[in-house]
Amino acid sequence: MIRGRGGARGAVREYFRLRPRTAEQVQDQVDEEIALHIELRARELVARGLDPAAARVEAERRFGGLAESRLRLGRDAAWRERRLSVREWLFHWRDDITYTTRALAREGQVALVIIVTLGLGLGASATMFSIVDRLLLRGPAHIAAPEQVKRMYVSWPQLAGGGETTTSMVSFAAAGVLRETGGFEDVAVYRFARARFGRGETGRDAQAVWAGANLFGLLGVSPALGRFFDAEEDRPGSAQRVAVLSYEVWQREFGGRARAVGESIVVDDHEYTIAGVAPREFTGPELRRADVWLPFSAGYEPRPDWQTTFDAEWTHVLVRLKPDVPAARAEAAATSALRAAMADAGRSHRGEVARVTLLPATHTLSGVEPTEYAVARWLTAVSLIVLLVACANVVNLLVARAVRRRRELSVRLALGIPRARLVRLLMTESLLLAGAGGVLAVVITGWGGRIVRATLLPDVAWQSAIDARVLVFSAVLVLVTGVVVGVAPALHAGRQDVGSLMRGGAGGGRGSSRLRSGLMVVQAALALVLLVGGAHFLRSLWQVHALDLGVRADRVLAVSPTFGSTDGLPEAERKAAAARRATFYAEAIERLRGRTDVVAAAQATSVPLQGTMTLALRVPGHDTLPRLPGGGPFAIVVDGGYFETVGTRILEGRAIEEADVRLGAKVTVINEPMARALWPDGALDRCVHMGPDDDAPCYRVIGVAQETRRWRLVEEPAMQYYVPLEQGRSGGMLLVRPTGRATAFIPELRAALHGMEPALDRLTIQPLSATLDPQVRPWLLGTTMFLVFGGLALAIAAIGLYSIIAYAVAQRRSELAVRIALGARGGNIVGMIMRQALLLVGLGIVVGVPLALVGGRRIEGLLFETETTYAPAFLAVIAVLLVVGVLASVIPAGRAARVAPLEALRVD
Amino acid sequence: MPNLPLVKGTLDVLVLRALSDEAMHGFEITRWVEARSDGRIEVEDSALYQALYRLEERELVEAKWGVTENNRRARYYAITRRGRRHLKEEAARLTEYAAALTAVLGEA
Repeated sequence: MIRGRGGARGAVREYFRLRPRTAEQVQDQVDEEIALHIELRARELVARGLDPAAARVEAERRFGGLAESRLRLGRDAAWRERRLSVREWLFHWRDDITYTTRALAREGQVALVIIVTLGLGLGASATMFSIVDRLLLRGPAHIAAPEQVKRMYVSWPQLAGGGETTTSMVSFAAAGVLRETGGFEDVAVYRFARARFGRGETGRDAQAVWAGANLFGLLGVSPALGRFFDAEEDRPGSAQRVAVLSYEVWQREFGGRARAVGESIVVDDHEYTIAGVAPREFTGPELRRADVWLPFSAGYEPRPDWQTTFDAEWTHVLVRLKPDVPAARAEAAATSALRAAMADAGRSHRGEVARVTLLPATHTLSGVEPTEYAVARWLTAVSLIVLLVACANVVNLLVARAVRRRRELSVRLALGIPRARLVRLLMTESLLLAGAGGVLAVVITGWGGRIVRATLLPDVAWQSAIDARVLVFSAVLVLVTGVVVGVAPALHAGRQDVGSLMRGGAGGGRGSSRLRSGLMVVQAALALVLLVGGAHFLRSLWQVHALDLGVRADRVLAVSPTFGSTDGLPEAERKAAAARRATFYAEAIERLRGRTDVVAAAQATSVPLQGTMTLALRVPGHDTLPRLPGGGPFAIVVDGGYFETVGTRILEGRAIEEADVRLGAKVTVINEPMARALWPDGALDRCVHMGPDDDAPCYRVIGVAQETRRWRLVEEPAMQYYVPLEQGRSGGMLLVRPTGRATAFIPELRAALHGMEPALDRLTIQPLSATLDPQVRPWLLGTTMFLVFGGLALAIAAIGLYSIIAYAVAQRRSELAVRIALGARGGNIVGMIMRQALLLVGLGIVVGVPLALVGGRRIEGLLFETETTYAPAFLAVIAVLLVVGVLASVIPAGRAARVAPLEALRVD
Repeated sequence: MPNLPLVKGTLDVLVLRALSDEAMHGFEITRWVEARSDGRIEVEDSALYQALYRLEERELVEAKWGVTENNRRARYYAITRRGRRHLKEEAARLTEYAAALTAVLGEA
């Protein structure tokens, strides 16, 4: 087709000429074309009789505006080249993808293993990212300039033992103090409270936020529907019952109808008018779920002077910093203002040493970053490790596959495919596999992520599992993974020498097999590190469960009844209701004790893990009571069945009994720290005066009980004492200990109590351990995640080990055949293969143990009474690895032993 | 007869027709058209190359560097299958158009 000289060689050379790449090259080609045209025209004119110079001039004239023409044509040619190379590139890609898909489909099993492996690794990472994104990166939604929004924390020095206690629970008056400093853009109050929608048995538990009206303005959020309540509706003394629903509650209870605004909703037995709906995913300044927003002044008032007193510390104070005022300066101003205000109010001894700090509202009550954050950070590292393991495995599989295809690849090279094109082909393959793995990962994230969040991080309000950021993150990760995983086999293929490839025979070379073994060792080591971490967390959990809290927190239910309001009812009915309320407790306890599925029941106020109470106390012989680090003395008012129900052991003397309650005996049981502090030589029969006056009655100490926790898993000792309930008194909590599991008994109990007393409006029932669950959760999270990820890594590594050993066996078929022919027994062969496998596992253990020790020191702070050098943890994990190593290599080893010598030698 | 200016779009068809016999470089195409029209149609040189580049982008022709009889490097253009199809359609359309015009104008 192409006329002219050059012949075959020229034709081949032209075929492979690549397109001009730069604009200069294009212009050069255009110039060359034009020059030829003009020269040929000139020659023709000369042939017609013009002299050469004139011919040239005429030829150029005929071309037409040489200068602009060549530039214009240069641009046209450049445009042409761009369009054509893009199209060519796209076609190559389409070809590559079709070819690659077909090639992978032919080796479906390997492709599936690779896709699943990558899917697990990518899925783990994406799940972790979706959690970390919400917890650490983004923070609560719908807050303008969130780094300027802080919560007020006050620190007081501890009374004994040095150090400070910090709390975000402050008085309402403190907010006023901060506002008056003028150093803040805005100051608002808020507090969370459990609440109940609806009435009676059909009601639903909810989380309410009592907020000052300016909270929404401070945060900079706009309602999704309607409006927020304003300052008028939040005025103390004339607060209106208006409510703002959360988006989710609006959808759930009102079907997302616009008419919801203006309708009413019952919260805690009062009707509130719905003023508006908060935007989607809005949870205020914290990450906790918030179902409904109510005006602060419409809520519970701890005392009549709640607006001005510093004594009631029951609310949070949120501030927005002024843009030009650094936080430190604002803190200093707030501190001096608070001290001055407290001194004025006569609280000087405590106020003098108060210190205000401003921290993110997502920090805990005591001002530290929630443990979940640290655990989440670690788990990011962990999930990336799992991804690394998965990638290592996939690289192994792909390199092994490239070696298997060496003949096919060498033929392609000989036929003239540029190496670059070959590399690109292999990269297409790895990117396709990574992409498929990514799709699987998204599925895993959506489904697994939901489980993780619901079970391990339920305090945070989570929205959809997959959002745009997670998808983008996954896509980037897929790309990076695809490239990383494709580089090794692509380089390997690129370096192949065609001649040696064609000659066939034992291939692969020692280099790639060392790479594969090295990757295997790395995988085993990383799996070990993760599993050891999981073992440490598991031990923490174990230690937590082994704690003696002083009460059987997981077996006892605490019941708080609330009766329907009797406002507006006639006098007689109100009296009758009061009488019923008085007998409710006694009747309920009698009924419950009569049931066969209840071990014991009791009544008490301020139960451990549910509340504390102090009463005035005077001890003869001690002008001032000694102060223990945990505080106190805390009082618990109990009836006769208390100690049996709750499980607190009596160490000396006896417990409070029914008779004491019935007779109104003035007796008391004190706890061990109190006994040791007041009467180290014997506390029984001592006297304690309940009441500040000199003639307050004397209560005789009849027993000493073990120490119990008040709020937290680990606490300093505190003084605590028990007094008998006044007979027939109502109030406080019911404590019930069923025979079976406490939580399972809750619906039964609820039904029984409601049935007994229909006037009951609300029953809050929860196990005593409810307060502890959030405290335990970080270790639960750590344990689950480290074990799950460690297990994943181990599974992936096991697959990798299997494939390596299987491949090695396939490579050594001839050698094995010879051995068998020479008399080696099956057992010898199996032993030989297993030794090879266990050598790899062993190396992994040797590498992994020091890594685990180093890493362990970094997580020691997250654990509970667990040293990270705990030997049994390591031994257990090593044993698991060895067993898995044996299992993974058993099948290929068995196959090795069954190699039929003649057959094996016959095949090339 | 004076030189006929080319109606827009017909240059493409002429180039394709030229290339339908054999591959040529730019100057050869010009000569072919001038010869076939007995000098009545003069092709503007820069317009020709513009048309060639556009035809190449539309993949109606493909270009390869070759060598002329005098050993000069030249860019040869060859018609593609798609180009042949386009040529057939456009040639038919143009011929029909010309015939219609003739019929309408009739004897002046």
